[in-house]
Amino acid sequence: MSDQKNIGTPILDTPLLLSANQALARGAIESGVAYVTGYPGTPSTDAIEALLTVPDLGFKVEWSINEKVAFEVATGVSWAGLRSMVTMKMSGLNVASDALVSVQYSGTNGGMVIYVADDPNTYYGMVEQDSRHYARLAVAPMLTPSSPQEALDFLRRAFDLSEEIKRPVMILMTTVLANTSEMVKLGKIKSITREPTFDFDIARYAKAGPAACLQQHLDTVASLEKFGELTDDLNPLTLTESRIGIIAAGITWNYLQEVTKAHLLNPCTLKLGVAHPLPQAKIRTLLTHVDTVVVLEELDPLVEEAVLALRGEIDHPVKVIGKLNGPLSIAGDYNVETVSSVLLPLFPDKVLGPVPADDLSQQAQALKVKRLVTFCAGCPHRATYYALNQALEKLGYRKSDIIITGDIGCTILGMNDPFQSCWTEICMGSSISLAQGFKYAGIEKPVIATIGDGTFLHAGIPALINAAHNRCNITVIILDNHWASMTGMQPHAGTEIFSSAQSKQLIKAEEIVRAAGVHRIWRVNPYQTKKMIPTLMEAISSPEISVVFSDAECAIQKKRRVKGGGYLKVKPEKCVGLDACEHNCIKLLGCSALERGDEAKAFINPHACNACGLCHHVCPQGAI
Amino acid sequence: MKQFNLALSGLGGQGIMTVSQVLAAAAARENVRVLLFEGTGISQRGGGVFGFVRLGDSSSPKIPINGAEAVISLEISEIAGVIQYLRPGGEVWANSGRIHGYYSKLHPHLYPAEEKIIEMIKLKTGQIHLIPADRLAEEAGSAQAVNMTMLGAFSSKNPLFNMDSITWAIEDSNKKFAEKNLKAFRRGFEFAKNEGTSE
Repeated sequence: MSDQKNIGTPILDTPLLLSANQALARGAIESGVAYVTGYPGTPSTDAIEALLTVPDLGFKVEWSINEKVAFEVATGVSWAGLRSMVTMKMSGLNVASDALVSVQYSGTNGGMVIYVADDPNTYYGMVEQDSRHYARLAVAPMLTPSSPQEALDFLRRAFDLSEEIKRPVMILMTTVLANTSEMVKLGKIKSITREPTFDFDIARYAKAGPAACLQQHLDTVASLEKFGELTDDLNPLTLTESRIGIIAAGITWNYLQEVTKAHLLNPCTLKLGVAHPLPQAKIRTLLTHVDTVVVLEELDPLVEEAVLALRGEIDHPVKVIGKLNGPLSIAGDYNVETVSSVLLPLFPDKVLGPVPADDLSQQAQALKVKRLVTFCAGCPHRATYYALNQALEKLGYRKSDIIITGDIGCTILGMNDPFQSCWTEICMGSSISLAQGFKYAGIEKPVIATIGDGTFLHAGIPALINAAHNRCNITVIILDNHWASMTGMQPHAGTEIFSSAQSKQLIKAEEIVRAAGVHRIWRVNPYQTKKMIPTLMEAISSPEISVVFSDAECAIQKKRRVKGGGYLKVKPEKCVGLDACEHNCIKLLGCSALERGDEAKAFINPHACNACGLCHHVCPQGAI
Repeated sequence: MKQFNLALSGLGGQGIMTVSQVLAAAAARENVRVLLFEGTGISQRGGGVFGFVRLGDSSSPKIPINGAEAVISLEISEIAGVIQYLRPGGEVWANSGRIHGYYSKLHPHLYPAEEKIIEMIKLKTGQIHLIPADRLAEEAGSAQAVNMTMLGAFSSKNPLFNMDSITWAIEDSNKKFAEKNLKAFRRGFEFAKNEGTSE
């Protein structure tokens, strides 16, 4: 680990170059947190990854089986009086939402912070959802820092606020912010030693009848109001002589600053560091002061709606420019140009900078090389989907007749060329349940569900139980590469090497599958194609629910441990050339280590090859 | 205060993030204000990667269109992803090496000819430095260090920091490969300084 990035450092006079995720992690340490947990979820993952680099500072940090469990465990720590934090991406918040709403209404004791990361503009390919809605749904306060420094400072504040209002506090960041780094000033690390304690109080900690629940709701609403009073300073309002006002939420503040500085603009501004509750009084004050309000927020027009509602109370007309009334988009994220394009027309004496020539943007777009997002070189999933397609072909099925459901994680890359093997992707664990649904609709041909090992433990178990219990004849392929890879190779409860190193108990998915009522279970190494194809054929043809474990470790993880794996070579004298060979290795497999070499023959890049041997198997000329 | 905006692009695995982090770390060491954005996207699985390094008094982590003094690309076609950020007349530092994708390996005509890429760049600037970074990295003993080679070439004409700071930052970024990375950096530096660059 770079010396620069010791987020546990006691040295306070040197700022550290930290990303917002790392700054958040540092904030948790400074706050004397006792327990941090979560589930890997881009772009939030790095917060816990950063904490895992400093294991001996007196707090416990670990990945959980899923976000709901993570949230509940963190609640236990908080209810016993100590500080906890739970991290997740937006879809993970959906998973944890049942616990979120209930715990928000019950309240907490030790400070509890929930960090959720959204992905406006879907840099990582997922639902573009606005998690601020959860703050409203759960009557939960939510902070939106605009910089890595604020991530740290807001988090420290969040723990204190949580203990003052006795409720969890949410912090929302986005991809761009999470991946932005700046020099961050560090604060003193708190040392909190508390004896855990918990009292019997069902009016608080249970949902003990209608009266108690109603009171919980009222108390939670009151806690939110109090939070608003305590965080007035996080929403700085600056009134100038201008009759134009701009409200900027979260990271959009930075784009606004860039534009006002570059063009020497001096509008009134309201920076929103709190997404919920919104500072109604300050918005009202701003509206009183201006003729035009521009609302800058990414994704849904929540602030804009609040502004429109308050506008009715103002005695003069105020124009509101945003998404509902204006050119700004609901989808996608913002940048400097987004802000300047809507702002500069309001200042007629300011000039917009030179616009890039249209033919440049067009030409650049046209020259972009279409790249395939696929498995890493040597990935066992490549071998599995190859074998699956072969098995279906050998069984005499047309590809378009056999529905294969997909799930979250690296396994979903089977949807792309050259495999086109996953037809669907909903949420964690859904591949199995969706397959059952297709069967219930009356699809007679085989329906196959594919799912990863981590994902299976996270959410696939109930779906499998449901399918087996109802004697639903689907084939489930659990692509077991031993790690939660897509998010950066985190361990899960079934990761053997990790479990033994950490003296945690290894959880064997196969035993769970058996206990779920599945009798037809196979475990095959997918690189052993000659065994994998017939196994899949048998499973697919089976008259009852079948589970095939496709078992081989993630190639990248394996390479990190086992050095000197060697590489395969193409015998040029045997290779007939990629253009002449109809079923050539590149076409069939799409492995990045396979290249077009001299004379259009296949060539294996020795630096990229992870020696899985799959190309050796598929080459029709035996040239590898 | 030193003001410089640099956009970087390339493919996952090429080490764009390391270059960005080295520059940011050197800036931090010299107390130069820096804002770094790492656009990793779906980099692990063959996707493009971009990075922004902003020195000086900037607010937005994203460089404004036409706001970058220079762009560095570790793969020639990936320039297309960041050229809009370059200011007219700015510097382009591009590895002339190409990395094909699935489709262009099967159908080579899908990968644009170098002349077409240069033609496109010329709509923005004539300051184009094509560096044979793949070969230079190989010569320096590390085919993986194309990123350091490009950083070296860029640094020879853009001494943003003291050599001490850069050297320290490179060593600190990866202690195991420090020697190899420094060698590759120096090779790129020498090449651009002495032999000149094509175009």
